[in-house]
Amino acid sequence: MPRKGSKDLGSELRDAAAELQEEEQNSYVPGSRKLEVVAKKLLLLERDLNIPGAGVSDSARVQRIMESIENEDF
Amino acid sequence: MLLLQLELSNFRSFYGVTTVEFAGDPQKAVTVFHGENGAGKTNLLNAIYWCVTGEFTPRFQDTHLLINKAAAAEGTRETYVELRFLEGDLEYRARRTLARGNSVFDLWQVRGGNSQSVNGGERAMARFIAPSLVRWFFFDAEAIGALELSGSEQFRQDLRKTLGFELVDKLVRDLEAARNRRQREVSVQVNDKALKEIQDAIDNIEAVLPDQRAALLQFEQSIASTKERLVAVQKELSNLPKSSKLQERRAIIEKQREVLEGQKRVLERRAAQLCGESAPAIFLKEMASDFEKTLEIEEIQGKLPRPYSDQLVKEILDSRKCICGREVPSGSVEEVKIKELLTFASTGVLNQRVKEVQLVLRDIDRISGDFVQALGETRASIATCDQDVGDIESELEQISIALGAIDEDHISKLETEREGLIAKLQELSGQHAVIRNQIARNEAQIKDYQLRYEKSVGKAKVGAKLQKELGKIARLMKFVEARLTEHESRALRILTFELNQILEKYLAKHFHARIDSSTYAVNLLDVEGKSVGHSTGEGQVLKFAFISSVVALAAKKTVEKIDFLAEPTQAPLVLDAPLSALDPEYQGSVARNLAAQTNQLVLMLSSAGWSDSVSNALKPHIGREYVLISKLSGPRNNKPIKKMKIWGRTYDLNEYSSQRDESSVEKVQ
Repeated sequence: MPRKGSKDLGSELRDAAAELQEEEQNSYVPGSRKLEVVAKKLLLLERDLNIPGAGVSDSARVQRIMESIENEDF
Repeated sequence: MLLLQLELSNFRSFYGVTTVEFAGDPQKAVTVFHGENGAGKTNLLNAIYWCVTGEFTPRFQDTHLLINKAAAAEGTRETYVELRFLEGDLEYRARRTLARGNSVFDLWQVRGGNSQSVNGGERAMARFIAPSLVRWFFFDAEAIGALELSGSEQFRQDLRKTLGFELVDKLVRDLEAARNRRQREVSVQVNDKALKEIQDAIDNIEAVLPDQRAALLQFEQSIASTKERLVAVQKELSNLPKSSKLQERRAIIEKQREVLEGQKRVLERRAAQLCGESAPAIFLKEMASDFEKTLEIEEIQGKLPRPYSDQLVKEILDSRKCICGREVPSGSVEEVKIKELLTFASTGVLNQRVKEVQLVLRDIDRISGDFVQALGETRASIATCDQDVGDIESELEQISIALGAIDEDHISKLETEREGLIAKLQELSGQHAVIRNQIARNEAQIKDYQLRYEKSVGKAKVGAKLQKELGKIARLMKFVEARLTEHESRALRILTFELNQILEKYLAKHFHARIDSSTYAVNLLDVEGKSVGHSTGEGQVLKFAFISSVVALAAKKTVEKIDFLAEPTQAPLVLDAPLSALDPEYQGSVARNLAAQTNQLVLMLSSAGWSDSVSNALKPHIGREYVLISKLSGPRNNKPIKKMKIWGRTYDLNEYSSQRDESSVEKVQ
């Protein structure tokens, strides 16, 4: 669905996006990029484990996070 | 989520099956439902709310009575609400059914006209729009007064969820828990008493913190719902006629009526007395009137008084000589005739009596005239009294109608509830402050213990693998927290920017908004930087602007594909009766802003919120428009038919003598 809204806010959002990209390109050392990849993987895992009704306990979720970190080399 | 169609079956005021379609064209994405109070606007909002979450907005009453009353009387034991919507490119049908007390939720994906059931429908629905966020998107704006942009933990969490930070918040917590587990493993491995004690302390605090945080949210929710109810009760009370004032006025004018009726009774007695006294006078006057006429005739004819006196007759008889010179002999016929004249001859006494009679007759005439005048004046006073009493009775009747409209028990119940709510708020606020302090203290202690742990663990001989895992978790936590802070700061900056754009554009005064980065409290400031209350007209505009900005920002994040750490929420904004809560000068600008900032907007408006400025602002954006008509089975009697003019055509908003009480939906032409 095409976007609606004020152009100014769109510009602000685009500026923010550009700012983020620039930061990512300039500031992050290779180690940080790896950290970002792992963090995104963990977020996806977190999302899957938090789906309402998924029936995953807090303890089991933390255990899965720990295992996932253990499997990553960074 | 883009709403396509809503189908109601015997839901609340909607009898039978009612279907409405929503505007989905990006250029005309506004759907408007017009309707007066009681026409079914809130039922429509809650139909959507219930279908999506299984719950209702806080102001929605009698939630156990979902099945339409008329349908229930006919034996229907089931109601359902079905919502058709798009999520991304996929079409879904969500249906919530209440049958014989059991609520069931079904979700189907629609492909090529066929519906395929989605397993775990509730879970899927919760992924489309988080239940905790529904209240931001399907908003009961009648309760906007109760919305606090105060920076409570609940408000902060809601906003973080809307902006997509909830998941990353959970990840940070889970990383903390993972770190604690690894630290415990270290304590066991190195068998260091000091480390073990520190970790025990951390674990003990971590064990109680979730419950404390949950309790804090619970208190905030209770405070929010109590405040919301308090606002609703106060509004209801303020909308009710003031019975005490009416009763005071009634007592005063009833006393006045009593005095007037007393005066009238005195006047009536006086009138009766005058009538009694004037009756003989009037009777005498009538008689005297005839008598006077006779006297007048006699006078005119010269018979009264007689033209000769008794003195003259006696002198003739004594001198035996008439005044004409003829002799009057004794015993003659002339002497007898002259003696007869004595009978009618006027005397001084007789003349005096005639005069007296004439005076009496004039007195009778005057007195009877006085009676008529006095009686007329008395009767005029009685009429004035009657008029005053009539005016009072008319006012008493109005007061009686107004008092009749008040359910005394209801007022008393509301007042009691209001007092109870205020007391409850005080108690909840106290408990909330205690738990918040406990959480702050525990969080500070955890940080302190963590520093002590890190200092102590450096001396211990920890296995390489465990040390590596601890290090990985620590680096991840640092990274995620840093990124989260960056994104949060940007999101708040954009939100503040957007809010201020709206305020600058629409508010006559040069106010601006500021969002506290730690509490998320939204403050409205004047040119001098002083805080402006949220209860002001400008404060209300801020609330509307804030809601639409948050919804718009959450939606735009998806489109802009900014690399936020979590998925944002994109959903339509459904507002029940939002504009009547605003000052008229801001209604048009807020309507324009809502239409411009949202991907899909559904508005439920009363005629009070449909001003020229609102209709002009919305006209270019409206894709679908309906009128909700309140149909009543009872006779009309003297009740008015409320009318509403929409685009030049007049619609009746209520009907009487219908087959049943129900809400019906008519498409605006």
